[in-house]
Amino acid sequence: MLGVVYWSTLAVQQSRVDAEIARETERLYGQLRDRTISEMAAVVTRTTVGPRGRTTIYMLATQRREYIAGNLRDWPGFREDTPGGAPGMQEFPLGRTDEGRDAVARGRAVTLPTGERLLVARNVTELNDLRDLVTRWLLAALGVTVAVGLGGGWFLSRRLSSRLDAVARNSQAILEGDLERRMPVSPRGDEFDALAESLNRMLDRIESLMKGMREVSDSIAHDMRSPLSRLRSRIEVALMQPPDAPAYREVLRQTVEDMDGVLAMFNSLLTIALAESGASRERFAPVDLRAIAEDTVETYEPAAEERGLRLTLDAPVPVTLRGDPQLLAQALANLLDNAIKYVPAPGSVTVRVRGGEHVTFEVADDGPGIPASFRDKAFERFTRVEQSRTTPGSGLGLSLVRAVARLHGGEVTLADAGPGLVVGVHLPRA
Amino acid sequence: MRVLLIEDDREAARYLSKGLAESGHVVDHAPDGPQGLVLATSGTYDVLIVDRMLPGLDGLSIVEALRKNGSTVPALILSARGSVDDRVAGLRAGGDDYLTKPFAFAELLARLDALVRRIRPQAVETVLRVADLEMDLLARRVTRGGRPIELKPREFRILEYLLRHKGQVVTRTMLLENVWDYSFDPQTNVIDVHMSRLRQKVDGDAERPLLQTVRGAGYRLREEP
Repeated sequence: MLGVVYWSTLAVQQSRVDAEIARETERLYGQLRDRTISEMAAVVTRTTVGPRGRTTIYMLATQRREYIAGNLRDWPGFREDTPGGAPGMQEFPLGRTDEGRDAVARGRAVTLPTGERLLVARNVTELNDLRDLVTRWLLAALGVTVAVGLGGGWFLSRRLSSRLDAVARNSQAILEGDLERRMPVSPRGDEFDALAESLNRMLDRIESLMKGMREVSDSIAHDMRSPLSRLRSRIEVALMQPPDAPAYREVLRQTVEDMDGVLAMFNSLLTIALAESGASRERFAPVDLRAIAEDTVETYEPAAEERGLRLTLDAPVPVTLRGDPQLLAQALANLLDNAIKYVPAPGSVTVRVRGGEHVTFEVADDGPGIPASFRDKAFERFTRVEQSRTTPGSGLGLSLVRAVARLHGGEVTLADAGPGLVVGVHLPRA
Repeated sequence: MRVLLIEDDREAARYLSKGLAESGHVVDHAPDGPQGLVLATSGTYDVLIVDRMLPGLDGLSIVEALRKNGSTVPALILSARGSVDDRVAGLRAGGDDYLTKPFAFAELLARLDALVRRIRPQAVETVLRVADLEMDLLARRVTRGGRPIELKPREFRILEYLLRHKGQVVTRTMLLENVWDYSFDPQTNVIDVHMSRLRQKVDGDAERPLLQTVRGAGYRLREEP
């Protein structure tokens, strides 16, 4: 860059020299026109010994280029003038300088109307030296730049391909089944590391989903096996008995009942899977959580009363958010199902709905609660508080509540109501 | 009534046909889409039962084709896909009701019955009656033998639904869908509790109870005493 600036400064310098020579040539041409040879010689000699003579080279020559006047003795090897004009600026050797270097002059020659030739030139040795020097440096700089560029490019591409190779190698390993493998992240923290990190997050998510799937299928296998094998042995035993229509009827009735339980479990699992997939977000619409709570509480109120529980709603204002009304209602219904199932009579269950920056709905009871050590586990599918194994239920209730909360971008909390349990569902308003 | 069953699962078709025949209906069976469409356009049926997934032509396309030809025969769509979106697609194609597999046979019968009766032109009624039970929809008043009955709003809606389907079996799922607008099944027997309260208010210790429980199916408001 600096070289370019310097180079153009030199070019400006040279064109200034050229302009001065042209001006001087024109000036002399005007003075020499229509003069006798001796008058011309006098003008040139006067100019040469004047102040200009120290910087400028003059030579007046005959048509045959023999010296008449001026500070240059021998006509240089100039190209011939073209008829009607000068060939412009040319450079010619000036012999040797004091330091023994080849001097160079730059100038032009014109032919006077009378046939004599006039040469005006400047010594440009230093200017040329400078130009050559800059040129050499520029070329050298260019060479270095190209070399560094090529080398750097080669180095970068080697590094690029080695890092891409690492990603490709790891992807291949993951494809081949090593699901724990992750992309390498260097401590540099550059774009590659950002990419690798986001790939790793994706892989983590996939792995946890896979793990979840495996857990679900394991749990389904586990939880389906018992009712299905119970079903099977009951039918087998019935077939071993002597034919008896009323007994068969009873067995079939129980079979249908058990099948309904299995189907209900399936439906819950499907709803959870649907909520976790996030597919129903497209159907989100503005919903009033208070209206949903009023509806659900009103639906469960008689059943709660039947069980000796007092169900109350505490929702002072409407609370709107975007969501799936069916899933929100189902989540609340599941919480009320649980409360009705686990809270002993005479007890009370309160549904609270609060708006604000976050939307919260809570179901608080004064039942036995869930031991703190068990609270995290309570969300897992098919988990039931151990003592309540005998109570019917699939153990999917809270998992569904959490899946619905997460679908809406929120979370579920379990807390001690001292005594009792508070299940809080906290949702963002947007 | 005459029922056309379009179902490719032969085992399921056999048992459905048997059950429908035993319930006093005449059943024709088409094992694939194209045959089903031909039968549906040529025959005269009171109701169609159309499986959604069929070889050749799927159930929704059959119903759509029928509706384009101006047919108004009620169609019940059967499907293994039960999400809200699937339901909406089924009803949008021109289906009149949508039942997710597996279902209780009693549920299917109740819904067929409701479908066929719904089609009969109904005058705009302001008073619904069965025996000496009377519901005034405008005054929102219910009386039994002239004696007023106080109902909560939900109980009023349940009774209205039962009165509109008097003599028919109404299943819990039908009540959940139509009175509660729930597409899920609460675990607790919430419906049963509402029904027993309603029965208490409507029948009390009346000599001729009107509100019956149909074992394994649902409820029915008895038409004839």
